Amino acid sequence: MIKAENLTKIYSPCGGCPVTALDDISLEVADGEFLAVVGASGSGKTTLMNIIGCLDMPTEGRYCLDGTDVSTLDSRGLSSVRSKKISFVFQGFNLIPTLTAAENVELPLIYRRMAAAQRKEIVKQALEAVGLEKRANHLPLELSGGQQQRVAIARAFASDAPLILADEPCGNLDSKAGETVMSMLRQMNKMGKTVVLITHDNAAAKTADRELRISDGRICV
Amino acid sequence: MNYGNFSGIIKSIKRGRGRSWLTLCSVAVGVFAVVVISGIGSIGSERISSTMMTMGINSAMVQASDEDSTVALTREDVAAFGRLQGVNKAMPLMAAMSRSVILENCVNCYAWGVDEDAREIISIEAVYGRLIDNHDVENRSCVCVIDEDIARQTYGRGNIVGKKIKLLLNGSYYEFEVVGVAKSGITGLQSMMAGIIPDFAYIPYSTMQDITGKSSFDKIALLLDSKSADENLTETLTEQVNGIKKCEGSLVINNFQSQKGQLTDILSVVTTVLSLIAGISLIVSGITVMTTMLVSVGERKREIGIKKSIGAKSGDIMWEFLSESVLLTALGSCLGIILALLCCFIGCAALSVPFTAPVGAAALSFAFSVFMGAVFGVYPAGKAAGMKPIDALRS
Repeated sequence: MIKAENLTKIYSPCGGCPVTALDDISLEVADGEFLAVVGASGSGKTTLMNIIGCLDMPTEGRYCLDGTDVSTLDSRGLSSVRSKKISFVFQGFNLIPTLTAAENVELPLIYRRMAAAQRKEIVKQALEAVGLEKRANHLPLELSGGQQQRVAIARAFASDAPLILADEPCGNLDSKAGETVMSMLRQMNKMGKTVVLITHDNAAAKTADRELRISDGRICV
Repeated sequence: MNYGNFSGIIKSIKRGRGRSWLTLCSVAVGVFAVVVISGIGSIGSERISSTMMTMGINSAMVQASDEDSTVALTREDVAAFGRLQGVNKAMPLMAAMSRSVILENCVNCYAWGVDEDAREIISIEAVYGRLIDNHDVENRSCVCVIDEDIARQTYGRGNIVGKKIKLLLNGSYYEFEVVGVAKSGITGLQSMMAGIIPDFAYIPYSTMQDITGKSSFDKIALLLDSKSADENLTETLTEQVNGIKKCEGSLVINNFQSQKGQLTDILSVVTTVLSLIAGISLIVSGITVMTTMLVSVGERKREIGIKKSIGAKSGDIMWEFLSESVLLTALGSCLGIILALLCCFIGCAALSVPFTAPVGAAALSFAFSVFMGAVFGVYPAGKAAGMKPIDALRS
């Protein structure tokens, strides 16, 4: 699914010293694998996730997603890849505050130009899968943190992308809500999705098929 | 383009309710100004037209030119002129300088020999009694209709129906019975006489023919078709009547149409200039829309980032912001148009003027402001669409 070779990312702030966030990282993730990328704060794991998620481009190196060399794609191509192949579950949930839970889940399907009737059905199924069918018409602010993260997972579930990138999905949650979210990610992995979990929590990382430790922009193990 | 997220666009407008409302109002004020000014212009133009209609704007008079006064106008000519294209009716006219004597008071006046069509063709209106009818013409009756001013000058009141009056015609005084009193002021004939003769007396044309010993008519009054009445029609008709009489240039046609044209032209220019000045406010409101949208883009960077991360293309984001600015201007325009129409309606009711909705101006200002919304929305929408998802998410 993922093949990254010699990825380097250097940030060059205006008037400041260049910062190397990723330093010559190579990795491969197989289809249906559950990989945990573990590292301390500032180790470069989120930068890695942004590049894997086609939100950012590496300064150097080559990255192929599902056989497509992402480095060669323009903005439209990257959008298309994100729409079809990647779902994100962010630490801060990243739900749109003016849209209800159902509308948030529906949004990626709208961008895929899916028919309204089909969208409604998928949204219903996704919210049922995370146990939030009764909160479909609630705004994010009317939901707890755990519920908001479940809406984000429902959004990933609805978009049916083969790759799920979860960046500290339990970071803002209590342990019980965190466990629920992790079990949902595992469930999605069992359904055949490739999951890349970015975390600093060793316990959460243990649930993955494989751990990849990252420190100062380099892979340690 | 993504049309499915329209409810999201509405929600975005609702989210910045105060800001959206102010933007909407700025557009509404601009559209209101344009529509009201155009409304005043079109109502004024209508008013001029209707007032001139009562002044006999659509009547014209065929008569021999000063150079050649030998042309005799006959009953056949009346019928032939009445059949010309652009002419609704024709009526024979006799005219003579006269003096009226009532209760030993002498008043200079102009005597007209007319028939039943005078009411319609030269816009005479009876204030008291009746006008000359065809029965009077057939019987060559000695009856007359006089201007209200003559009645007031002699009797001190308007209604002198049934009284006797002496008119000086062809060097002798003839007694007439007053059967009606006409409204003084602006009739078609007075318009054409340009106020030289202060008052008129109307008698059957046949009676005047008897008195003057003429078998022909002095003039022929025409009622022109209001839809085709313009200066070109007058020129065409002049050629045609001369053609009928086979007397090139001997007959001329006088009417009031050109003055109407000049007045409406002046009003139209004033209205257009004022509307254009008001139109500048639409451009200003377009800039307000752009400012609002730029603020909105700044506030919603994270939302843009989220949307891009879940697969929104730049075109989708562009469409969403552009739709928002167009929707804002469209709603503002609708509000402005409704207020302007209401204002015009109330103004017309207060001034007892028939209400004419300035539909053209409303449609034009709506289209223009929506266009402005689209033009001034392009920059903020482009800025939103061009954001890198990672930068937008970090904000």
